[in-house]
Amino acid sequence: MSEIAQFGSVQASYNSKRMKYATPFLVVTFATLAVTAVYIVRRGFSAREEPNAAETFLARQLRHIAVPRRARQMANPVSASPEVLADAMAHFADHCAICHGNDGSGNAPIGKGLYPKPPDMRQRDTQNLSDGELYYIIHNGVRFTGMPAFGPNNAGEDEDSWKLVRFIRHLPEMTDEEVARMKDMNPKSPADLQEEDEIQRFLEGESEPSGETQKHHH
Amino acid sequence: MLKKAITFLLTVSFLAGALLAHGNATHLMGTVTAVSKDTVTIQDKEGKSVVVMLEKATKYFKTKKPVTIDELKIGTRVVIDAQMNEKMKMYSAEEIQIGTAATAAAAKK
Repeated sequence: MSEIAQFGSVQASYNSKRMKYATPFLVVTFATLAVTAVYIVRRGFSAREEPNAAETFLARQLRHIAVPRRARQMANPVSASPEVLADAMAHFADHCAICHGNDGSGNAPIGKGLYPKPPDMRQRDTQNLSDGELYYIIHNGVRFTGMPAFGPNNAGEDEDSWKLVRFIRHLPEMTDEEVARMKDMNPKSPADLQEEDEIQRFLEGESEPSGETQKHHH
Repeated sequence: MLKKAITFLLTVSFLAGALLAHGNATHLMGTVTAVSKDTVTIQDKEGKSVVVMLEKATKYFKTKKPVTIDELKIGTRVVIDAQMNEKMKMYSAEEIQIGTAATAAAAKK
């Protein structure tokens, strides 16, 4: 047998073995895809539902893996102080509360409609993340969620995100008074301001009850 | 190929998360006509009575300061931030702002 024929025979044997393993793999892959497609079609693309436990677990593990170890181990360079907390609180009320709520519970107009919904950041799942991990998430965002990258697009560290990490640590101890104070710092449209004024005048007895008003019209 | 298949499956699984939806919070404005441990009834401008469930998590404010449910008295004006509880077919109060203006009914009390 010539060398070429021998090589051809070895190649054919290799291809045959490859096909032997590839076929079941392809069948399993396509079956999984089909099941996933049926699941999505039946469930629809609605963002109203909660991710199931497996999806949540998988997403959290992937997020954890996706944060580089070096970033996870970073220490917060911003020291805790009342000034830092006040600054971060204002920043949070202005940029974050629309999804996370002023108290970090995720109970906010946009947050409630997101998929996945923002976590209750007062709870263990968030509080157990390292400072570096929290910073990394704020700075870079999380793909396939509503969490955008808030940090500037350069290698330098942004102090604002580190301050927000300090604020997130404070969330479990937030008082109702602090939450109420933050409401005044939330971004408001002219319609919101008008509504707020009407509510205030009504509560002070200046106008008659105007009945039920929808806060949002979509 | 395995990597590609896993990546595709994960992508398909998480794409559903990219859509936004909006909340449907409601402001109910009226005068308190009855209060119980679990509900508050208000009368709005049209004279319609609305019963709203009070939850453990319901927060009460007066002049933007936190107060207790004790401040919720008949005759006071309130603005209730509520969500419709589809299961109970009733509004559920998230936050209640209690007015400072006392009506005749509240003054008599």
